Amino acid sequence: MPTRRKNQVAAANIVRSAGWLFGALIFACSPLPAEEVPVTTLAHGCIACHGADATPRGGEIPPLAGRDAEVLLDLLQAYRSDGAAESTSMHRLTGGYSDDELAALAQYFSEQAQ
Amino acid sequence: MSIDHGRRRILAALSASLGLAAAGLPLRSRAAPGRVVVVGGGFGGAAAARALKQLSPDLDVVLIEPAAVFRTCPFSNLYLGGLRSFGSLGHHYGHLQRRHGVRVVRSMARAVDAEQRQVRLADGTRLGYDRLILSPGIDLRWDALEGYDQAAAERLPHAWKAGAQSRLLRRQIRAMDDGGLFLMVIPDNPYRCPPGPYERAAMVAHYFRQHKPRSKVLLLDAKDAFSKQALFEQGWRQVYGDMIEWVGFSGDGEVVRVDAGERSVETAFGQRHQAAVINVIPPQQAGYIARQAGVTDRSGWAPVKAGTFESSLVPNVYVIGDAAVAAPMPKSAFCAHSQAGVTAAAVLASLADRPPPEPVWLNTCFSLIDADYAISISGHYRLVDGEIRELAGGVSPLVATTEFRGREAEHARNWYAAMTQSIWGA
Ligand SMILES: Cc1cc2nc3c(=O)[nH]c(=O)nc-3n(C[C@H](O)[C@H](O)[C@H](O)COP(=O)(O)OP(=O)(O)OC[C@H]3O[C@@H](n4cnc5c(N)ncnc54)[C@H](O)[C@@H]3O)c2cc1C
Repeated sequence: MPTRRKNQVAAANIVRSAGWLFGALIFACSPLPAEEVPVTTLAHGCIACHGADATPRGGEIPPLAGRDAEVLLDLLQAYRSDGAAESTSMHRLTGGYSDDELAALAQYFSEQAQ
Repeated sequence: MSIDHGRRRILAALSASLGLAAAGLPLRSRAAPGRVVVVGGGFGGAAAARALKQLSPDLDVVLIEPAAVFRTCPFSNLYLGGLRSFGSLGHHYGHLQRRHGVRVVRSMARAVDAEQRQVRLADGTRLGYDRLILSPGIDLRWDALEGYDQAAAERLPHAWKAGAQSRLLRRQIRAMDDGGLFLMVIPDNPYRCPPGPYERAAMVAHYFRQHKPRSKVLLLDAKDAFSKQALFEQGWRQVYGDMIEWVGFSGDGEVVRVDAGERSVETAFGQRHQAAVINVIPPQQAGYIARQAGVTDRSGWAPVKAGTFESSLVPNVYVIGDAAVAAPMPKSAFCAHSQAGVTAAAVLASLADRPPPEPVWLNTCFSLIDADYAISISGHYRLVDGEIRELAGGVSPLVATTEFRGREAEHARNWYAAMTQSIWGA
C-alpha cells in the first residue's frame, strides 16, 4: 500500500510541525484496511504498559482486557485528536493509528478474558 | 552421528544441566508447525518465545538462556539511586516454562550452523531449528577504549549489563566520601539505551543529595547532543542545582584512555580527570553469538530486513533487540519487546509459507530524574517503502506541572510492572 503509506508519512511530518492539523489529516488518510496489521500485533504494543490481563495492578495505567469496546474506542480517539487533557504520552503513540485500527484494538481488548 | 545417538546425548545433557522438564528434544522437531529456537532470555528473546506460543500453541519453542534469573537493566539506575532493591530487578523463567509451554534450556549457545540449521550449546549438544531468533543483547567492546578491559571493569564498573556490575557500582558509590567525585564516561552512538547514562546521573545525584550532599557528578561524553537533552538538563538543574555537570565532545568530553590503577581518565585533548568512582560505559557491539553466526557486519551490529527482522545476511535467522540495526528505533527494552511481537508473527508466516504481515512497532522510554519526576520519549514506527519510519511520537513537554512529572514517574513504575509481568509473569 505504498501511496497510502506515503500519505501517512506526509501526514506525520506535517503533524510534527503543526499539531492542530492532526485530527483532520488522520481523518483524511483513514481508513486503512483493518486486516493490514494483525490485531495481535497491534495489541502487542499496548500490553507493554497496560499488561495482558484484566487484573488492575493498582497503578495509573489501567488494564485494557475485558473493558467495554465503545469506551475504549472513545478514549483512544480522544487521545489521538489531542483532546484528552490527561494524556502524557498516549497522544504521541495513538497518532500513528488509523480509525479502523483503533476500532480493531478496542474490539480485541473488550473480548479478552475478564 | 546418527539422529538417535544425537537425541540420547541431548537428552542426557539436558536433564543434567536443566533441572527443568526437558522431556525429549530431538534434533528435529516433530511438532507440525515446526521448531523455533530462541537464543537469549532477555526482553527480546523471552518476549518472542512467549508470543510464539501464544500465537501458535502447537509450535515447538525452545529458549536458550544461561542465567536462572534475568536481571533487568531497566530500573537498575533506580537501584543505584536507592529507589529499588537489587532483588526487584530479578525475573525467572518458571512461568514461561510451566504455564506457557516454552522449553527453557539453561545453557549458552556457542555456535550456529546455518546450513544444517543447528545451534550448538556449551556442552556440545546440537539443537535443530526451522527458524532461529537471536536476541543476545550487547557485548562490551574491550578493544575500543585504551586501558579498559575486563580486569579494569572490576575497578571502574560499566554496570551496562545488570547484575554483579550493578552491585559493584552501588558499593563503590556508598563507600566514597562526601565531597568525592563520581565520573561517568559516555560513548558515541549507537549504544544500548540512549537516555540511560543521563538517567543514571540523576539517580546518583538522588543518592548524593541524601547521603553525600557535597559530592558531584561529572559526565564526560563523546557526543555533542543526547536523547531528551533539554528535559534532562532542566530536570537536573531543578532538582539537583549544580550537582551534575555534563561536558560534550566539543568541550573536550571525549575520553580516549582510562587508568584503572590510578582511577583516572584522559580526554582527546589530554586533560586528566581523577575521581573517587569512575563509571565507564564503553562502546558496544552485538552479542557474541550474533557475530559467530555471521549475521553482523563491520559495524558489529546485525543488519536486518526491515519488515521482519530476518537477517539480511543469513536466511532463516532473525535478529531482534539491541543486537539488530533498527534505527530509527532506539536500543531499548520496549523496542526489543515490540520487535519480538512483530517478528513472532513474521516467523509464523514464513513457516506457513505466507508473506509476512504488515508490522507496527512502538517505543516509550521513561527516565527518572527523581522519585516523583520522570520524562519520556515515545515513537510509533511503520514500514514505509521498505524502511522503518517514525510516523508519530515525541517527548514530554518542557513546560509541565510537578503533578505531570509525578504522573510520568508513576507511569514508569507501571510500565516496568506490566512489561516484566507480560514477559516473565504468570
Ligand atoms: C542502565 C540501563 C537502563 C535501561 N533502562 C531502560 C528503560 O528504562 N527502558 C527501556 O526500554 N530500556 C532500557 N534499557 C535498555 C534495555 O536494557 C535493552 O534495550 C534490552 O535489554 C535489550 O533487550 P535484548 O533482548 O536485546 O537484550 P537483553 O535484555 O540484554 O537479553 C539478552 C539475553 O541473552 C542472553 N544471551 C546472550 N548470549 C547468549 C548465548 N550465546 N546463548 C544464550 N543466551 C545468551 C543473555 O544472558 C541475556 O539474558 C536500559 C539499559 C541500561 C544499560
